[in-house]
Amino acid sequence: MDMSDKDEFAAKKRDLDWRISDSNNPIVSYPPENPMSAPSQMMDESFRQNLWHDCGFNVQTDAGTSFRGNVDRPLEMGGWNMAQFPADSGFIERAAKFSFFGCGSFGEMMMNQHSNGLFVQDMEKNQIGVATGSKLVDGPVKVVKENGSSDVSEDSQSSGGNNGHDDAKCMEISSKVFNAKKRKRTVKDSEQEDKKEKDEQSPNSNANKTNSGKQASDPLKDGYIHMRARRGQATNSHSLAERVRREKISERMKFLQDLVPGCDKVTGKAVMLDEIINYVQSLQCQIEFLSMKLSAVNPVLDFNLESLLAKDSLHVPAPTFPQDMSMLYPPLSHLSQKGFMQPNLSSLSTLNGGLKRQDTHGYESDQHNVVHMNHETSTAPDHEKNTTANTEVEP
Amino acid sequence: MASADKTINTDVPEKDVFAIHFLQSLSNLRTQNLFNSPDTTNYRVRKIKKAAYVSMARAAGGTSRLWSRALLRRATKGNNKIVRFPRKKRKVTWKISSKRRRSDQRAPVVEEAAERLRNLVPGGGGMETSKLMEETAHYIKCLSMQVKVMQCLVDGLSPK
Repeated sequence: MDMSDKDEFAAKKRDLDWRISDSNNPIVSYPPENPMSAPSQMMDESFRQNLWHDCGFNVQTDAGTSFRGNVDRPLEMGGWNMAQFPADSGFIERAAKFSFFGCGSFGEMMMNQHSNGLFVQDMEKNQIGVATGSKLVDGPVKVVKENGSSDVSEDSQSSGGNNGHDDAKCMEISSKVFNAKKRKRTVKDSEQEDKKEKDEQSPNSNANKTNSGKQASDPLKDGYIHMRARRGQATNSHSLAERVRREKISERMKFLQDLVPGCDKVTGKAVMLDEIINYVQSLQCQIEFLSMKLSAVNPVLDFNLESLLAKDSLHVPAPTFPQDMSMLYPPLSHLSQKGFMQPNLSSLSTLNGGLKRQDTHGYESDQHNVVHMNHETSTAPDHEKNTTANTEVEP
Repeated sequence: MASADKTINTDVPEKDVFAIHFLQSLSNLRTQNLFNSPDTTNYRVRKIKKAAYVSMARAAGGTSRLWSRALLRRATKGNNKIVRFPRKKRKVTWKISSKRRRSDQRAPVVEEAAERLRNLVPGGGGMETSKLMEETAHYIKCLSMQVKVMQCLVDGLSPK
């Protein structure tokens, strides 16, 4: 059924011309309507009817068959319909491409139209220029491979041919277009395709067409996420954007699932989200509880705390920075008779030494402020205590 | 999954960064002589809690994260001498309300949960749902880290 598909392309193209001629839209790159309109009156009706009713590619009329031969031999100007195709070199080239199903130019052509015809938008509908503005390349959102189309259409040959010729100088749009056309058999979908094409054209005006999606690589280049409509799903631009968004959200939810303990068995977004909310609330409650506990034990701490913190000169050699504070505390807790000061202070000093090494993100100014404040307000520092504490701490 | 996520960066500094910040804030508190008046327990608790959050926000990335920025802004409402908020070139933030209006149609199940999350996570009011989830993930990591630090402190300081 290769022929029929090609015919449908051509048929739709023609229909577009006719409608455009009705609306008096000048089309620059397209053959003028004059040669087409004259002898094709009888064809008009049948085509239009087919297109309007069918809006798909089931045009199996006599009119379609009459085109078949022409599309096959695009360069042979035979028959009346060939009179419709002017000697526009670009057009001939495009027509030639049709026979290969490469159809790169077809999308191009359609994009040149910029019109509202029922027809134009098919091509681009699968390619949505979602301006995310961020460099989010979401794996699951990536363009579904064109090979997915192979199961779409009944014409296995054509799709095979399509895939085969994908590389041959055709923009991936065309292939998408082709597959899209094969998918869309309903009126509703084709109408949605229109809108998509329109939305599509405006963001994609910078000729992102050639390099996008097919290679499935460069989303950062144009900043858009190219998304292909999957089989059996609506291709409205809004719904595609919705799907992109939903997939983003679900990807993030998977990430959150790893974070929140005990969420592996939970399925479903609602329950998951409830779990997450509960977890966040529980963490915040824990912080409050711990702060209450800290306020209870805090008076124990001595004022030497600040002095030790302020001791920038106290370069305690801490080659292995204590990654785990809990490890530090148990060995020091036996020094409780000294009032818990020294262990804490020494640990703090080691931390402070580590802090000096870690120049964190531009908060140095803040830390210096803190440290200077400590300098000002500290009492007479007790150096001996510090040194003894340090010697105790050293393993 | 962390390695596979090149797009969502939720790296959190080590525990010691949190510890340092928290201890410094505690020593800050100490200079205010709070602990001499035992009748202001509540006040003390609140101060410590606020210090915990602020130090956590600082340790977690300061102004480079939306939630931490919102937290810090909230904490230093009147007197901002401490934190510098760099003027980042923000995208159209006035469109948030329009996003929200439409978001009610988008998977209402997700959206009402997102509303609750927005109340919990600082700065969540101005975020879209997907961004909110990123921030929530980072926030959860930082919260758990802070909880660990505080737990260690309490364990170390509590009399045996």
